[in-house]
Amino acid sequence: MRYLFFTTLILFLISTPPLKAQNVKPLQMGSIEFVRKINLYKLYQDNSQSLELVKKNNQQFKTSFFNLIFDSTKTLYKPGKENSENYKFNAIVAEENIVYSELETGICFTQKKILENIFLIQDTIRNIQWKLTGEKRQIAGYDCKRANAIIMDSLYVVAYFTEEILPEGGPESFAGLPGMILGVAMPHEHVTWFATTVSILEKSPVFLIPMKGKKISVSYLKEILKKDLVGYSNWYFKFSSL
Amino acid sequence: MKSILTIFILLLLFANYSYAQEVNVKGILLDSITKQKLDKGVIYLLRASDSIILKYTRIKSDGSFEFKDIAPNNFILIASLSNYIEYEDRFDIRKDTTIDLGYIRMVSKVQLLSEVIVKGGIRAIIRNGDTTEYRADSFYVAPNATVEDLLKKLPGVRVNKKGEITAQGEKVKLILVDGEEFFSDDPTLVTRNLTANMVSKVQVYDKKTEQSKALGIDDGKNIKVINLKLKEDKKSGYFGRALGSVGTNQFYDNLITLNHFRGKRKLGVYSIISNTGKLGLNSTETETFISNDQNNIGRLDTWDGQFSGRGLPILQTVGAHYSNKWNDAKESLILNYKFRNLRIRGIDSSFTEFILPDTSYFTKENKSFSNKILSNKISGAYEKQIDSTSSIKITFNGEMAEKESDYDFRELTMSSKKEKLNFGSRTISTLGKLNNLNSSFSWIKILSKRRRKILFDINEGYTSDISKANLYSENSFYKIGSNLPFQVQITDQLKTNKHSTLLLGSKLTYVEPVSKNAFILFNFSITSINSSSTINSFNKNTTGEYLQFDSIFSSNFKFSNNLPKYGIGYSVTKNRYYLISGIDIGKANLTQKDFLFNSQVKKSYINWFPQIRFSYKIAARKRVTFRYDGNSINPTIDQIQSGRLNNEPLNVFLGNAKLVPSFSNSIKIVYSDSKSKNERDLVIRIIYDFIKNDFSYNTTLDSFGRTEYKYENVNGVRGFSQNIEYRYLIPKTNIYIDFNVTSKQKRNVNIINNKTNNIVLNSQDFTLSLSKSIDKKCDFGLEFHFDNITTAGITSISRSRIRNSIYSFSPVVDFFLPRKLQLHSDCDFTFRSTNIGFAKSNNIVLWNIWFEKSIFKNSELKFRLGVNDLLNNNNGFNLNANKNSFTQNEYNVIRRYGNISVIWNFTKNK
Repeated sequence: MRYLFFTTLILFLISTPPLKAQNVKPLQMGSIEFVRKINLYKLYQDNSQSLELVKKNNQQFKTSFFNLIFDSTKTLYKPGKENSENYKFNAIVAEENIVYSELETGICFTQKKILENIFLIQDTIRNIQWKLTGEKRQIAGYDCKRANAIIMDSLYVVAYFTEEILPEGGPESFAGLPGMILGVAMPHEHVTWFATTVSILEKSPVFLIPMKGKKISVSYLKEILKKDLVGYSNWYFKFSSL
Repeated sequence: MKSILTIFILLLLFANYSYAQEVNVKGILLDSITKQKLDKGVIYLLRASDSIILKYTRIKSDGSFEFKDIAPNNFILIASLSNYIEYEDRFDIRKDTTIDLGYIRMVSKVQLLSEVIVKGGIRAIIRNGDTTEYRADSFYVAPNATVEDLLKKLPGVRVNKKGEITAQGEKVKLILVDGEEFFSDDPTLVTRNLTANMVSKVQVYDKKTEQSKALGIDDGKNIKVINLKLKEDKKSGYFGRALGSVGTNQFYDNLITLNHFRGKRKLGVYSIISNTGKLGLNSTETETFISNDQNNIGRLDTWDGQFSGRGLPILQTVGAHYSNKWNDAKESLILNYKFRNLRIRGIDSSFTEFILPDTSYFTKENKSFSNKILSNKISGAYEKQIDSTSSIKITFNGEMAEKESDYDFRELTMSSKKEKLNFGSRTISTLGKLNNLNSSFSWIKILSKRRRKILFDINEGYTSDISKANLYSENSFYKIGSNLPFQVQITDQLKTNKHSTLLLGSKLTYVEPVSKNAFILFNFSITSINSSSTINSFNKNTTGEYLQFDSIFSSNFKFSNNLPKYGIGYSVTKNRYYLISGIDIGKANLTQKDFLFNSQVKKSYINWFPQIRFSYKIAARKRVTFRYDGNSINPTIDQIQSGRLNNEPLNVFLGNAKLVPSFSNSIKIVYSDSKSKNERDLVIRIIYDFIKNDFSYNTTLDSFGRTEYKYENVNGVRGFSQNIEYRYLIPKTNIYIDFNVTSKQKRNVNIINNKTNNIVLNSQDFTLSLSKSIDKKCDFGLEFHFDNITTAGITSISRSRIRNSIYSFSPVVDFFLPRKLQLHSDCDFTFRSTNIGFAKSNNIVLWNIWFEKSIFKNSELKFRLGVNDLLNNNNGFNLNANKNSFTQNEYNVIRRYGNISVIWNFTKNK
C-alpha cells in the first residue's frame, strides 16, 4: 500500500510539468534591463544630406542600456552598462536620465542632462489615458498586453505591460497600467525600449534618489528647452521634454 | 452656528447628489470547473467607444473585485487572469446603479485545450447591440470546407441550396471581407470561394445606408450584412479554387478563382463555364434592364437579362475585382469588372383562371423562348476622407450589352365551361443593344458647431435601348359551339424601338442640432427625368419587304418629369428611445409630347411623403418599433393616355385622363426580443397597409375573350399581415429550431364590366426547421413547410373561391465517414392540393445525392460523384395570385443527370 502511494506520488510529480506562471507568485521586487534603440536612418530620412553623414558614421540603430529597479512601492530608472560600439552622437538626448518614482504617493523625481546642464525636476507620475488593444506578445518571458496612448498632445506611444509584475511602473516616466511596462515604442519618433532580462531580487534594493542638478518645475523646463534648443529639430525637443 | 449647519446640510445634499451620478460594479471570479475563487488577476473597465482604460483593479484575496463611483458610460469589462480565457462583458449604464455581476466563471486554458469545455465555456456567440459575432473556431467544419459550410453551422443563419443566406430572418444582401466589399454583386463568389479556416469571426449586423450613417439616424433602409473577419495570418497571400465537373446528358461545370490579398489590397479573378445553373447565377444585381420608369410599356422583350430558374442556361463568365485603401485608409477604391455570356432556352406554359363577378374564364398559354445576352459591365467606387470634417464618395457603374430573344406563343381562351373562344399564335424575335451608365457623387461636411452637417448628392442615370423586332401574330375568334373561326386577325410587322432615359438629380441636406439629443433636418432636392421612346412599325409591302409604315402602331414620345421636393425632419435620440419624424412635399410636373400626332399632355401633381419612426428599448435586447410611411404615387403617362400597342392583341389598355395620384399608408409594428441564453430570438411583426385612390382597371370583356382594361382610381385596397419568428436552441440536445408563421390578408378592388369586385386573398405560411450537427459525424436538417392561399372574389352578385395548398418536407443529411469520405443527401417532397381550376396535382420528389472523397493532409483535393434529381421527378411549377386571377405556370428545368467532379483548393500565406 505504501509502495503504491509513493509510486503514485512520484508519478504524479514527474507527470505534472510545472505549467509556467500557474502558481507563480506575481513579482514584487526585481531589476529589469532595458535596451533602447533609436533608428537613426529613419530619423534622418527626410534630410538626405545629414542622412549620408549619419550612415557613414553610425549603424542603423543607436543602442543604449538602462536598468529599472523596483520594489512594491518604488521604481528607479537609470543608465545601465555602456555600449562600447556606440559612437557618441551629440544629438542623442535622455542618455543619462534618471527617474525615481514613488508609486504610493505618485511623486517622481527626474534628473536630466540637457546639453551641458543637469536639471532636477519634481513632478507627479504622468497620468496617461491608455487604450487597451487586445494584442498580446511575450517580452523577456512574460505575457504582455498592448496599450496605446497619446502623451504630450501628439506623441503616439505603444506600451507592452505584464500583469505578472505587480509594481505599476516602466522605463522613463511611462506608467499607469496594471503591471510593469516591459516594452515601449514611439513609432513616429523611431524609438523603442524593450526589456531583455528580468531578475528577481530577494531583498529590497537600494534606491539612490537623484539629487544632482538645478531644481526646476516642468513648465520652466519647457521654457529652458525652447530657449536652449533653438535650431534643434522638433524631435529633439519632444524627446528632451519626455 | 446656524450658517455652518446650513452649509453642512447643503454639503450633504450636494454630496448625495454627486454620489447619485455614480456607478458601482462588482463581482466574484470562480474557476468554471473547480468552483474555486480566483484571486490573481486584473479587472479592466474600458470605455466601449474607444477602449480607453477608465479604471482597473487587482482581484482581492477573496476573489472579489469592485469599482466604485464611476461616471455612467458604455463599458467593456475585461477579466484577465493568467492561464484563463479572457472574459469580456459589455454594459451600457446611463444612470446610477450598482451592477452586481455575481459569479463570473472563468474557463481555464488547459481545459480549453482538452476540447470538452469548449461547449460549456467559451462564448462562441457574442451579441453586442445589433451585432452578433460568431467565433469561427467554435464551430466545427471539415478541413478545407468553404465559408458557406461554416455559415450553415451558425445558429440564426440559414443557407439554402442556391447559396442564398438568411440571417435572423432577413435576407443577407452583402458579404463583406474585413469590412470591405469583395465581389459584391454575388455573395456566393465569396462564400464558396473563401475557405472556413481563413475566417476568425463572422459578424452579422445591419448596414446603414450612406445617408443614415452620415445623419446618425435610422432611415429604415438598412440591409443585413455578414462581415467575415479574416485571421491575421491569412490576410496576406493567395488562394483559390479550381473545379471541373462532367456529367451525363452533356452537363458540365467549370470554375476557377484566384485571389491575392496583401494588407488592405484585395485582388480576385474568376471564370465560370457552366450549364447546370448552379454556378455564377446567384447575382443580386439590382439594376436590370427593365427599370420602373415611365417608358416601359411597349417593349416587346420583357426579359431582364437574368436567369430566373426557368429553362436551361448556358453561362460563360469572367470577372475581376480590385480594392485597396491607402493614405492611412483615408482613400479607398473598389473596381469590378464582369463579362457575361448567357443563353437560356426553355418552355413555359401557363394556365390562368380569371374570376369575374358572375362568371370566370380560362386562358392557356404555351411559350417557348430562347434568350441570349452578351454583356460587359464595370463598376467602382472611390472614397476620400479629405480632412476630419469632410469626405467625398464617387460611384459609377456602366454596362454594355447585346441581347437577343425569340419567343413563340400559343394562346387559347376558354369560357367558364371550357368552350373555345379564341386561339392565337405569335412569334416575336428581337435584337437589341443596351447601354447604361449610372454615377453618383456625394459630399459630407461637418461644420464647426458639433453635429451640424451639410450633405450634398448628385446622381445621374442613363439607359438606352435600341432594338429591332419581328412580330407575327395570328388570332382566330370563335362563336361558342362552333369550330370554325368567324374572324382571323393577322399581324406581320417589323418594329424598331429606341428608348432612352436620362435622370439627373441633386439633393442638399442640412442638419442643425437643437439640443444634445435632437436635431432638425432640412432638405431640398430636384430630380429631372427625360426620356424618349420611338416605336416604328412597318408592314410588309407587295414585294415582301417591311417598308410600309404603320402609323397606328407606331409612336414617338418624349417624356419629362421634373420633381422639386422640400423636406423637413426632426429627430431625437435618448437612451431608451428614438423618434424620427418628417415630411417631404414635392410637385411632379409630367409632360409627354407625342411627335407623331403633335399633341402634348401636361399634368402636375402635389406629392406628400410623411414618415414617423419611433423605437423604444424595453431592455438591453428587447425593443419595439413603430413606423408609419405615407407615399404619393403618380399615375404614369400610359395610365393617363392610351398607348397604341399591338403586342398583345387580346388585351387592350386604355388610359384615363381623370386619374389622381394615389396615396399609400403603411403602418408597421415590430417587437423583437433576443436572449443570449439558448440563442433565443423572437420577432413579431404586424403590418397594415391601405391605399387611397389606388390604380386599378375597369375590365370589360367581350364575348370573344378580348379584354379591355381602363385605368381607374379605386378605394378600399388594404392589406394586413402578421408574422412571428422564433428561434431556439434546445438545451443539451444541440438541436436548433427555427419557426416562422405568417398570415396575410389582402383586399384588392377592381371593376369588371362596371361592377365593383373585391378580391380577398388570404394566405397562411408556416415553416418549421430543425437542425442538429454532431461534429465529425453528421449534420442533419429538416424543414417542414406549409403554404395555404385562398382567393375569393366578392361582388354584390356573386362569390367565387379558389384554394391552393402546398406542403413540403425537406430533409438534408451529411455523413462524415472515416477515411475522409462524405455522403450528402438532400430531398424535397412537395405536395400540392388539387383544386377546382387546376385538375392536375403536382407532387414532386426531388432527390440529390453525392459522395465525396478528400485526399491530402488538409483535404486540398476532393473528388465528388453525384446524381442530381435521382428520381427524374423535377418539375418547374409556380402558382401566382393576381388581382383577379390565378395563374399556374409550368416550365422546363434541369432533371436527372449524374456527374463527377474534381475540386482543388490552393492557398499560400505569407
